[in-house]
Amino acid sequence: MHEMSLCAGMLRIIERQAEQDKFRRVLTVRVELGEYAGVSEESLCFCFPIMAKGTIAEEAKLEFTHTLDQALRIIDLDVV
Amino acid sequence: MCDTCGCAAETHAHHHHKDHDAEKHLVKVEEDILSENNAFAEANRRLLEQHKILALNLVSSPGSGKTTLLARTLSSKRFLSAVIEGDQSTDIDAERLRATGAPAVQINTGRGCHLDAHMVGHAMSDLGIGKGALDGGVLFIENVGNLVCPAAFDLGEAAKVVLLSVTEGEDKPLKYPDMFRAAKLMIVTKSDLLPYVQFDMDRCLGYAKKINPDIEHFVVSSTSGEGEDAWMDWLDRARCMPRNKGFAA
Repeated sequence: MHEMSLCAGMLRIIERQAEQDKFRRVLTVRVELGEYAGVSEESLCFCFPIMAKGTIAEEAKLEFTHTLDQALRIIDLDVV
Repeated sequence: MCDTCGCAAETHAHHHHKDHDAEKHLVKVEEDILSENNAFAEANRRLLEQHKILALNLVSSPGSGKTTLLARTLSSKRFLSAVIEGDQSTDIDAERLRATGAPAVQINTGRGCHLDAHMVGHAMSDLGIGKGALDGGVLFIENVGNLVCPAAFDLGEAAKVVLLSVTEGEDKPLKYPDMFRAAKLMIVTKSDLLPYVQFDMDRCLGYAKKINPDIEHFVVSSTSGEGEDAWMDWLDRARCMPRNKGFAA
């Protein structure tokens, strides 16, 4: 359930980055997701497009790198 | 999936695809998704440490007895205490705890399933924390009843305390491992009901230790009073410990 607020957090990070690096659209968001982060990849993928609607990331797809720790971070973005 | 650029959309106008090859590039981010929450949590923790306040984040499923245990703890008047209450709606719990004489602030999360550090920071300010209120005391943060989501959100507490009532079944630590891994202490509640329910205490403790070998535990009944002294003594010890990340689980 808390994946909604995590997606909102992801979008704030992306929007901040966009201001800094002046990109207009996000194509890919690469996420590092730890086994013990308490977060489900499926729910993130379900929530992200809903939360991203109307933002620069609305067409972005999520790509995951799985780790064995508590990692939960955005590694990088493909942008135009 | 769109086959021009690989974006997630099934069908959308591709008027903008001309610029993909020319401009598509990689931007490094390397930022923790919870960084915003964690920054608020660290600020809360610093303020609590400065004022020598022990903050505990009480987590459990709904109805496991968090508020009743708190009401008993506050009524003992053994510690200077205050409470931040989290629920989706109503201020029934805060009102119930105010009746003990302790200040209590209710946070209603609406559709939210957990407290976050930003909400807690505001509630701390409402309680006068940082302006002399509660210095040297104990702040109980009663999280939204939910064994999943609150595990992921640091509020600035010294430790998470997870409650599990004997009516819920002994297998909860295995079913909700994130929460039992995040907790420093497990309190098994409603022990007066043990004769009436199928609950294997040894198995429960074994499961909890399997998930988190360092977890401490008490068996408590807020009806008979069993275990309450042990809990109060634990609070006393925790108040005297350095409240840094070494204490936090």
